[in-house]
This record gives sequence, C-alpha cells and structure tokens, in this order.
Amino acid sequence: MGILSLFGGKHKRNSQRPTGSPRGQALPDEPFATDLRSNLDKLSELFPNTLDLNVRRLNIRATGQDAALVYIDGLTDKTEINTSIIKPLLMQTGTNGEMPIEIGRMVRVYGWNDLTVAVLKGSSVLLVEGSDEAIVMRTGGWPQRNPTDPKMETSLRGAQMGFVETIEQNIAMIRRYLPNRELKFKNFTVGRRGNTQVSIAYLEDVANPDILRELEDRIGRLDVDVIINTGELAELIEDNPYSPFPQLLITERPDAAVSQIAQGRFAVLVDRSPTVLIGPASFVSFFQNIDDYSTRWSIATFIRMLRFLAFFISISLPGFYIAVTSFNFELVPIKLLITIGTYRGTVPFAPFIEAAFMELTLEMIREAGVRLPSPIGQTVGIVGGIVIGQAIVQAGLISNIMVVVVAFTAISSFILPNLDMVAAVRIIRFSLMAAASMFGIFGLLVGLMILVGHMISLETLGTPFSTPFSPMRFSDWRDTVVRSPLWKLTRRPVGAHPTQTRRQGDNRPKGDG
Amino acid sequence: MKKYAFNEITTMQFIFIISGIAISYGFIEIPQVLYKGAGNSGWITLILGSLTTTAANLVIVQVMKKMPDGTILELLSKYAGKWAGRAAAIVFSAYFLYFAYGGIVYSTRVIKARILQETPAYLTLIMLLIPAYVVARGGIRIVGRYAEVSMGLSLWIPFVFAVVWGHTHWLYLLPVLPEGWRPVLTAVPSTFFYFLGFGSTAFLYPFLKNKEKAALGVCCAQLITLSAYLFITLLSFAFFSPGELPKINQLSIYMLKAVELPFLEQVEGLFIVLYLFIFSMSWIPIYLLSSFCMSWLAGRADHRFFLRILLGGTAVFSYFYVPSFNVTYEMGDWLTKFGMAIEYAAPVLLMGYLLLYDAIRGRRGLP
Repeated sequence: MGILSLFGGKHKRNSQRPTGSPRGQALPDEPFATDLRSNLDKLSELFPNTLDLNVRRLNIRATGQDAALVYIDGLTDKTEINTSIIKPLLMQTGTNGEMPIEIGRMVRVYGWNDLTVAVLKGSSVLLVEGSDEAIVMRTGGWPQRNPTDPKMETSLRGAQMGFVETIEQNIAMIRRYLPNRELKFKNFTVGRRGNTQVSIAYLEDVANPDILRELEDRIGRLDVDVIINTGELAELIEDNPYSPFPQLLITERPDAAVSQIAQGRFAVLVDRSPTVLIGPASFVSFFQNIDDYSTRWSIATFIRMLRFLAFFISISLPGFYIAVTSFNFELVPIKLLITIGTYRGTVPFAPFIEAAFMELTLEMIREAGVRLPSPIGQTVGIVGGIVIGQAIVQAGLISNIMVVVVAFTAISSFILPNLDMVAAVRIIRFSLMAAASMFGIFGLLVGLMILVGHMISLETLGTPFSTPFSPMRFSDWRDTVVRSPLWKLTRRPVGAHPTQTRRQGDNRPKGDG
Repeated sequence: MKKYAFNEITTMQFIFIISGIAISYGFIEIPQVLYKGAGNSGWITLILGSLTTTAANLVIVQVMKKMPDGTILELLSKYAGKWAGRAAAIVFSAYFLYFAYGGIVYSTRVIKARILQETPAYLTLIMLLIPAYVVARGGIRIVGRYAEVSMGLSLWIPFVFAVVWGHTHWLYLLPVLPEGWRPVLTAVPSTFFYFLGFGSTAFLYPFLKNKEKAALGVCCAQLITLSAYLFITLLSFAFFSPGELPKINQLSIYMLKAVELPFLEQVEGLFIVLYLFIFSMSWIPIYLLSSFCMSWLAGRADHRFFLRILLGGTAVFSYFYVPSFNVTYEMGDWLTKFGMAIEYAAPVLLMGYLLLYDAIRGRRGLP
C-alpha cells in the first residue's frame, strides 16, 4: 500500500472557498474581429482609463498591413520593443511569409481573454489588419532586483545568492545546480485575480508520484483571489493548519532547495515571492542547515545535537523554572534552592507572573527589533538590555535567576535555524509555562506528552511528520541528530519516499594501503 | 477486502504496543509481588510466567491466522455467528475499559502520592486524559508511533537504575529455591496480571503490515517485557535486604532514593513524571481498543465518537470518585481474574473450537 494508504484524511478545506464569480477576468473568450478598428475599439472598452496602456499604430513595411502594437509601459522592456519589434516592422522589406519580429518567444492567440492576460503580464501584443489572430511577444521588463545574499538564512560556506521575486530567475537558479533532464517543473496558475504562476520542481525519476499527485491536487484545488507570498500558499495547502508546527519548509536559498530536491522532495516556487516551499518536510528538516554538509561531520553533528538540545531548553526551561519554584522544590539541589530563595525572597509576584512577564517582554523586544529600521533597532537592544537586565532586578520586581532563565531561553531559540520553528517554539513555551504553573513538573510533562502526541499525529503532504523517530526508520537516522560522514549517506532518506533510493556510491576515501 | 488497510502498523510498533501495555502496569510493583509469592527465587516464577504468556500469545496469533484481514470480532462473527461477535465486542470493550481505567487510576494515585499531594486527584486524572485523547484520536497507526516514541524516550531508565549498582548485594539471591519448586510454581498465576494486555494482539493483527512476522513480534514483545521485569526484579532483590522487601511499597521507586546526582536532588520525583510515557501505555492504546470495539458494535467506521464518550465519561466520573490505592489493588485482583479468563483461557478454547469446526466441516466435505 505504501504511502497511498496514508492519504485520505484531514484535508477538508472546501468551506474556505470564496463563492460567487469575481468580475475582473470572467469574460467569455470572444474571438477577434478581422477589422483592426473594431478591435481597437474593443480594446479601449476593455481597458478604460488605463494610462500606462500603450497602443502604437504602425504600418508593417514588409506586407503593407496596418497594425497596432499593444503593451503596458511599466511592465515591458522598452529597448527591446523598439529595436526588436517596432524597428524591423517599420524598416525590414523582404518577407519569407513570417512577420519580421526579432523576438525569441512569440505565440499566437485567438481571443480577448488571452490577450488581456498577456498584456497585463508584460507581453506585447500585435494586432494586424485583416487577421483574426494576435501575436503575443514576451517583452517582460518589470522592475527587478538582482540576486543578493539571503538575509534570514545566512550561511558561512554556502552560495551567497538567494531567490528573487521573478520565478524565471528562480527556476534558472535551480537549473544551474541540476542540469539534468529529469528535473521537471510543473506549472499552475493560482489566484483568479493574481494569476500567480506556481511551479513544482522535482526530479522525475526520484520523487514519489503519489506525493506529487497529492501536491498537484492541493494546489489545483485552490480557489483564491491572489497569493502574495509563499507563506500564504503554505498555509493554504498544509495538512493541519491548526498546529503550531510548520509542516512545510520555507527557504530563500537555492542551494538548500536543490539539496532537498535531490533527496526526492518537492520545491514549490511562487512567482513574485523570494522564497520557496519545500515538502514533505519532517520535524528533523527544520533542524538541518546547508552549512551542516560543508563543515566537518563531527562538528556538524555537535551542532545538530546543540540545536535539538536548544529546542528542548527553549520550550521547557521557563516551565521547569516555574515548576521548581512553585511546586517541586525537592527536585533542585539544596544549595541551588537556597540561591534561588535569596533572590526570589524579595520578588512580590508568583513565579508564573514573573516568568510570563519576562518572556512577554523578551518577545516584545524581539518583535520591536524585527520591524524597526536598523538604526532604531539597536536602541531597542540597548534599552532592553539595560532595563531588563539590571533595572528590573534592582527594583526588586524580578529575580536574578529569572533573568538568567529568560536569557538562556532566548539564546537557545536563536540557535534554531528555521524561523517558523522558532515561532512554534515561542507559542509552545507559553503553553508549557501555563501547564507548569498549575501542575508543576507533572503539568510540564503532560504538556510534553501532548506535544509528542500531536507531533506524531501530524502529517506533511500525507506522510508522517515525525519520521525517522516514529515511525522509526533507523536508516534515516544518519542525517538527523547526527550528521554522518557524507560517504555514509549513500541512500536518499526514506522519509521523502523516493522511488529511487540509491543516491551515491561508496565514496569513502581509501587509504593508500 | 482489506478493511483496515489505511491504518497499518509496523512490526516494531506491534512489539512496542504489546510490551508497553504490559510493562506500564508491572515495572513498579512486580518485585514485591514476586517476593511475596516465591521469595528470593521469584525471578524463576517470572520466567515461567513469561513462558506461559508467550504460549498464550502465540495461540492468539495462531487463531488470528484464520482471519488475516479482520479482528477477533470478525473472526467470531464468521465462525460462531453474528451474535457471538457482538457479545465478544461487548465483553472486550467492557474489559478494556476496566483495564484502561485501572491503569489511569493507578498512575494518578502514584503521582498523587509522590509528587502532587495537594492537587485533587480528579484534576490529575483529567490532565492525563488529554494526551490520551490527542494520541488515541489518530487510531492504531498513531498509537503505534506513540508506543515507539514512549519506549524510545524511556531508554534512560536502565541507566538510572544502573547507578544503584554499587549498593547491591548479590548474595541475597542465594540460596536458589530454598523451599523447593512448590512456592515458585504456585506463584506463577500471580504474575499473569503484569503480563496482561497481550490480548490486544487479537485486535492489532489485521493492522500489522507483515503478518508473517506476527509470531516473531509476539516473542520479541514478551522477551522485552521479561527482560525489563527480570532487570528490575533481580536488582530489587539484590538491593533490598530480605527483611525490607515485603515492607516497602513500590520498590522500584524507593530504590531510586539511593541515587545521588549533582544536579538533581530527588531522582524518584523526576523518574515518576518521566515514567508517565510508559505509564500512559497502559491506558492510551486500551482506551482506543475499547472505543474500537464499541464502534464496531455500532457499525461506525470512526472510533472517535466513542473515544470522546469514554474519555469524557471517565473525566466526569472521576470528578465524583477516584479510587484510592487500596481500591486500585482490589481492582487489580478483579482484573487478574477477568484477564486470565479473557486473555489466557479464551484463546485456547477458541482455538479448540476452530479446530473442531474445521474438522467437522472437513468431514462433511463443505468448501
């Protein structure tokens, strides 16, 4: 049965679909008239008050026909239009039965719907007198940014290039890493107004067709207005939207995306968004970083372990503090208990209030730092550091130990390489704190049990989220808490359900023996 | 038709569910029970008990081979009539409910006694029901994963106990069989209680991915159970003097008082809390099985409705009454009786019935 058996639950999202048909694009596809004048009348009817719509009337010298070139100013590359379309049309004399247009990508369309979409997406359209077809030429030249180094996922050794907002360029970046015929891109258009191009990138001979079908199905079923960002798509297609955990990986690094594609996973590229969605993502994949594979394996392993430890600390340490100070004194060695007691003695609040206050402050400082422009952002850090670090303790509002706990949690959560996972950790931490404040260490553990129970119930694209740990797959453990030497990773992870498991041969360096 | 194909479990999950259910009940109590029954040779009793259980469990597997795509309920409906299946569903769901309730109450009592003295028992119990719902909601597949995780997360237990190694006196184990075989043999039935839960095999079997490995899985599960019990029993027998053994309750927890760690004052408190992962195996899968039987009886495909009713009912009931420790032990005695009838005796009878059925049918030459 394989993973087919895993599908079939949970993905019910019909009720979210907007009903009724929006006006905008819902024209019946009307054919063109052969008469240029009536076509232009129709055009001005379709685009009233569109100042940036440019209609250039011209006479094609080669055939002697009247024609009109239609394009939107800001979305097109003017030099290209001038030199490759207008100039040859006006100047070139001879014809070999073809329009004298010097543009590589050119298609003919036969209806107004196609024309409007093409024009609005930055193509130029040529309407010719006496013809009932229009020629669409790719002349896109909207404002674009050059690839820069990724901001959120910095890497020490990896490539210094991140995805940009144009899907063609992003596809090109992926192709650069995998010049392979099996690398396929499946395209969809999502959003009735947005018409966003969405592409699924995968290796056809490696990736699992069942997961592909599931992913296609979910993207194909979407009925939304517009998708602005990859995160929106992720929320719309993930298995369990009520979970705090991200179930699909979002990355802005081409090398990270390619390394996942090569393992048999799928990357979903969204036009106009500089990030890429990767699925199926397991819990462990949120702890992996592209740098792990370019540092020495022993060090990478150490860092991996550090991350898992940090995950555990940052969800449970404040809860543990609350449990120990309000319920389970007996757990702490007596000397430490006395230390805690001396500092906590003057604090007027219950441990939960104390901890919640400090953790909330920390979250506020962090959020303030993210949104503020960087010169002011530093001030926030200083204010936070001085006020929280010293003043609040000297004023006797919060104990010293609590400050230590907060600092420790904060640093632990900074170690985690994935932002979505950090966000999940922040939410979980508060619930565990609440549980610990009511039931002490027992509440903390029941909270963890619920967390574990929830995590093993989660699915990502119909495959288990908690994979190598449960269902237990020992062969996948090589790239989890430990990062085995690369020559050991001869097989693709079973968690990605690849159809071709062998990844590489035995590359173990042999001695000269 | 494969009715349960969407819900497969691996052999390892199968093993861990069966041994998890057993260990959760017994790990804390069994040394004392064995000592009271058979003295310092109790560990021989344990091995005999385990062998008996393995045999009974293999009988269940053998019976289930007749019906690879159905549970024991379908099997009974097919071979003994529709009403036999229904009666069995009622019996099983009642038995499992009692089993799970006993487990959760016992855990509640241990927690209340050791770490949460002042919190009302019903609150503790209701807290324990939440993870039960989160896990059991997902069906056998998720429970299988939970069994793996909870066993994996409890692998530290032997190491904690290894710390007390320095305090052991292995001479306490001698002489072997001081009073002959009689007490050892008579004490065997008293161990059965701590092996109960293997009856779940009859329900897990159709979900098992590799059915040919079922017998092997059962043996592994019983071996894991036996080694866990042997470990703690031998350690307790060597740690406590013969005078202390009958007097101290819950030897396994008490033993940890000897453990001193630089960063932790009282190991046993943390132990009990972390042991909840194992404890929970005595009620999470069982509640699921009970609700499974009920939904089978009602002809519903979704077990969640009855699961909610069972867990909600337990919560409401507990608000009014949570049995005390002594009542728990009495409940355990009853459970032993039911369990011996349902899990040890019934499969053997059923196997005899099936053999007879086949023989008669074979003689009549029916297809």
